[in-house]
Parts: sequence; structure tokens; C-alpha cells
Amino acid sequence: MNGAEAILNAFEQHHIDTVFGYPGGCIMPLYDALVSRNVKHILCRHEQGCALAADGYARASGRIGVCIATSGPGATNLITGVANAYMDSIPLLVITGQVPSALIGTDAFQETDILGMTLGIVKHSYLVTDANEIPQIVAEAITLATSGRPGPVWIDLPKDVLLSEIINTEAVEESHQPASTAAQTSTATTAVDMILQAKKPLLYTGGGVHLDNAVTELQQLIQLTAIPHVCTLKGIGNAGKNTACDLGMLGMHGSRAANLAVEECDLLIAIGARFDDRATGKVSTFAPAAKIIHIDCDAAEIGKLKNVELSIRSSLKSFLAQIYDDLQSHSATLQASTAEWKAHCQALKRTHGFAMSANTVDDCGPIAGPAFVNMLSSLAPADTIVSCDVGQHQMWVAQYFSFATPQQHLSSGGLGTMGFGLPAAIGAQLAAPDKPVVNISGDGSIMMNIQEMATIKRYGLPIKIIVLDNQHLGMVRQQQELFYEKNYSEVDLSDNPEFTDLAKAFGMKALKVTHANQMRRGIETLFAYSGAMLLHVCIDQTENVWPIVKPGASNKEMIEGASA
Amino acid sequence: MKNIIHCEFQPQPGAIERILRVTRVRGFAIETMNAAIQNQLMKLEMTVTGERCFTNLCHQLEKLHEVQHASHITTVRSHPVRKLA
Repeated sequence: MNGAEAILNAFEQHHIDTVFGYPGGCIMPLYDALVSRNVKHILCRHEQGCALAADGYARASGRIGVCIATSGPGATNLITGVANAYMDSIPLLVITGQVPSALIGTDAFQETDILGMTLGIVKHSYLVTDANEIPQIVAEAITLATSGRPGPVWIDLPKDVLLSEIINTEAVEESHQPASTAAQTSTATTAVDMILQAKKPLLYTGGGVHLDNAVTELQQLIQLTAIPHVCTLKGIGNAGKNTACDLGMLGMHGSRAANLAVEECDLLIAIGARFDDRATGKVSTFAPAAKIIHIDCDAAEIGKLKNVELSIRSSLKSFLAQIYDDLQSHSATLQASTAEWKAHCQALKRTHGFAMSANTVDDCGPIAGPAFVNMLSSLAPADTIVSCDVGQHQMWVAQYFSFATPQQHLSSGGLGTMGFGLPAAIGAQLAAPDKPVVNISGDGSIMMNIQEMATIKRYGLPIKIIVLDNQHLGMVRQQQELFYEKNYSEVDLSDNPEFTDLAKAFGMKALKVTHANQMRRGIETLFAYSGAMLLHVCIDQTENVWPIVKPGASNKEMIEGASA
Repeated sequence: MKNIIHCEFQPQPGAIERILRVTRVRGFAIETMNAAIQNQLMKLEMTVTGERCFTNLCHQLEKLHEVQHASHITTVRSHPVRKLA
């Protein structure tokens, strides 16, 4: 058995059955060994597509995503996808070939110091020097990637190591996940006391809730207490669908209701959220009247950006279960003491939420992005997985698509990677072959990884692609309109190819809609068709995302429906 | 603010690079550095300056796989530079 075979053995041992990759010179021993194995290898058409597809696979499945590339440009092309996973704490195992050991450091053909280049975007990385270490390293890498705060782990393998015979072939014991940290009873008691003393408590939850598999516990807590809830982009779906006390996303493009609730609350309970600048706006003015409880599994996140009254480093799942138990006997007290606040938040939601009334659509007019997404949400099957790209359409999905769980909403939160959506949809469809998967993209983002349409064709994936086309880099145009005195610079995309023709060139069905009265038929056709299909939606070019908070400003300075 | 950071870690390839990178990216500048292997662990002492929370820097360092322990001691508070007449 050589090093390459040891990698594949390790995949089998750790139940890794799907990987995303692209072959090349130094990784060829692995591809040579792959031919006789049962691992399903998905050949993407660009290494960035491999990394982002592995990311989408991990998000949709809750399992580790694996991507493979060769040395040099193969490895560097992975970087954006790996950085994307790092920023959103997605577990990835990244395998790259490297030039033979004797050539490392000689500027050999397709040599890059990929370990050095990627230090800032991985939880850990290895440059393997001895093939005998491969089983142990892969086991450790998987444990690291999936435990605690998840993230990508990179294994760089020189070609000679892949080809080396392994002397020690003893099976490696499965690496045990480190025990998750539970909150001390005393801190949980303090948290409960603070909740009971508060008149205006507010839950602020993020992506950590889903990553710690604590969505059920959070929803039970919300059901018990009815404490008003706001969430980050990655926390969308945490509260469940149509939950009365959920005010939706906060922050730069959050609902006015959510931002006002944060402004007014006297206790902010941050759960698996990291006070990101897109969520908080000017952080010194965030939640100005509130005491803050911050619960996170990562000690480095607590107090990083905002001082808090009570910090709790804990598994979210166990903490939420603990305070649920503690609050059960106080439920009536809590309901009474916070009734006025809850009624106020309900009023905020009615007047400043994202709900769209049925008569806001002008059937004869152009298509408005929010109206389209709102209709899509109402017509999509309940178990639909939506992957977004980055820009205006991403925010409209966050605002107007209703998700029952965060696992259904795949969005590049931390890095904001245009081009994420299409490969992520491929990963999601492979992770969940029986569920409808929709990639909602923009005319800018879709072109960033358009080559992955070939991957959809190759594997016959029934992915639905929706391109909301305003012939511009819409979010940049919007900010130039509002904050750069309409000095539009390099945002015109009116020379994009005809998307329906492009789809057909990749063997995909396509349909174009241009007016509001065609939206329903377009969406229904999309879901009625069994295979892959692209829906080209021409939308109003001047439509903006509202509200918007100017970067660096306080969330209370939301701008809505007018120029700044 | 100036602090002395003590850090103990497994002397694996790239470990020092990771520690220096985290220190820089999290907003600190290194003034002095001393490291030696004792009992199979690398013990690193560095004087760093920065305005951000040093405890948080230690938490960030302890997230590195090789790092077993990181702590800090405050030495000197920074003062505005006084111009000579």
C-alpha cells in the first residue's frame, strides 16, 4: 500500500464517500489509486468550484466536505473556497499534491508554499513528510475540522510521499472528538436570573446554533419563553418558519424591527453569534441600553468586539437545554414581566418587518427582486435548499424567503464570496439528492463560476438556477448611488451573454421572464420540471435593498427607500 | 500597551509562523522574541505592543493546534510621545 492508497483507505474508514476534485501532476498518484475505489469523485471544472462544492456539501449534510487539487495553481485556486469555509466555520478536509520532497524550496514547476500561503484560512495544516504518518494525520485532521468550532484543515502531500510504500499498515484508531464544554451551573443560574430580571430581553442568534446542532433546543426555548428573536445572516431559520416573536435578520440589511429591538432591549442574549460588523454596524453604539450575555464555544469570540456582562464558554446545545430546564418553572413570571415588551416587538414586526402584502405586485410592471423572492418562498416545496451568491439577491433572500431551518439556507456570510452559489448547490444536491435545490444568483455572481454548469450536466443534477438579472453589479451600484454621489464606476454588466442560450449550451432547459405577471408561471415551471433548469429573471435595474446602514454607521441610522 | 506573552507549543513545522501571524493579524506588534525547546516543548516569550485585549490574543493563540498554553503579563502602559522643545 502506498501513500495515495492510505489516503483513500482513511476516507473509507471515516465514511467519506463523496469528494470534489480536479487532477493534475503532483496529485496523480491519488487519482491513479482512485480508479479502483468506491469513493464518488465529482470532477468540477475549476478548483474553486471543488472547494465551494465541498463547502455546500458540508453545509447541507452536516458532514465534512472534502476537496482535492494538485500543487501550484490547483492549490491556489482552492484558496477562495477554503477561506469561505474558514470564515463561516465549515468543516472541510483539503487534500493537495505537492512537488516531490527533494524539490520543495527550489521553485520547481507548479510549486507553491501552500502551507505558508494558507496559514490564515485554516484551523490547521500539514505538510506530510512520511507516508507512514498519513492514517494518523487524516484521522487527526478530520477530528480537528469537525470538533469545537469547525473549520478547514489542509493536508499537503508531496508526490513522492503519495508514492511511498507504507511499512506500518496497522489500522489507526478513530480519533475521538474532544468533549464539548458545558456551562458551569453557576453561570447558567446567573444567566437565568438576568433573564428573569429583564423587562426587555432579546435573543440574538447566529450560525453557531446550527453548527452545534442546537436548533431544536433554541426553538424549544423560544416556544417556552416567547422572547423576541433577531438573527444574523447565518442564523436565518434558527427560529423556525412563521415564528411570531422572530423579527428576522438584524444589521446592515436587517429589518427595521430587528434593529430597533436591539436598540431598545435591556438584555441581549447572544448565542453562537460573533458581533460581526455587518450585524452590529458601529459596534460601540450596538445595543446601547442592554446588558449582554454572550454564549459561544470559542473563547476567543467572547469580548472580542463588545464587552459583555456575562460570558459563557459552552456548547450551545447543552447550555440551551440547561436554561430551558431552569426557566420552565418561571415561565408564567417571565411571560408577565415581559408582556409589554413582546407586544411592542410584535407591533414593530407588523410595521417594520419584511412581510409583503399580496397587493404590492404590479402585474403589468417590471419584476421587483423582493416580490419575486417573496413569491418564490411561497411556491417552493417546504424542504427546498437555497444556495445564494453574494449581492442584492442574497439580501432579498435573507429578507423575504422563509426558512424552517438554517440548513436550508446556504449563504456566504463571512467572506461574501461571489460565485459561491452554483458550486454550493452542486454540493448540496449531492448531499441531499431527494430535496429540491435552488441556486439564486445575480447576473454578476453567476458568471464567477459559470463553468460549473458543466458539472451539473455531467452528473445529471436537477438543480434549479435563478438569475436575478439587473444588468449591473447591483449592490456596488446601490452603494455608489447612495454613498458615492451616483458616481457609477465599472458596474455595468449589460453585455452579459444571453443566459438562456448559455444554459442551453450546457444542455440545460431555460426560461426567461420579464414582467411581474410571468413570475408565478416561471416559478411553477421551474419546480414542475424534473431536471436542471435555469430561470432568467429580468428585474428592475434601479431596485435597491432596503433598509441599508452605511458601512461604519450605527444600525439606528438605517436608510430606507431614498438617496442618502 | 506593552505585554509579555508566554507561549508553550509543540515545535511542529510552521508553528512559529502561525503564532507570529496570529499576533500580527490580531493587531499586535512584536518588539522582542526569545524561544527555546525545553522538555520537548518550545517555550516562547515575546514582548508585544498593541491597544487590543491581550487576553483575547492569548485565546486566539490557544486556538492553534500546537499551542498548549498562552498567557500575558502587562509591563508598560503606552503614553503619548512628548515632543522636545
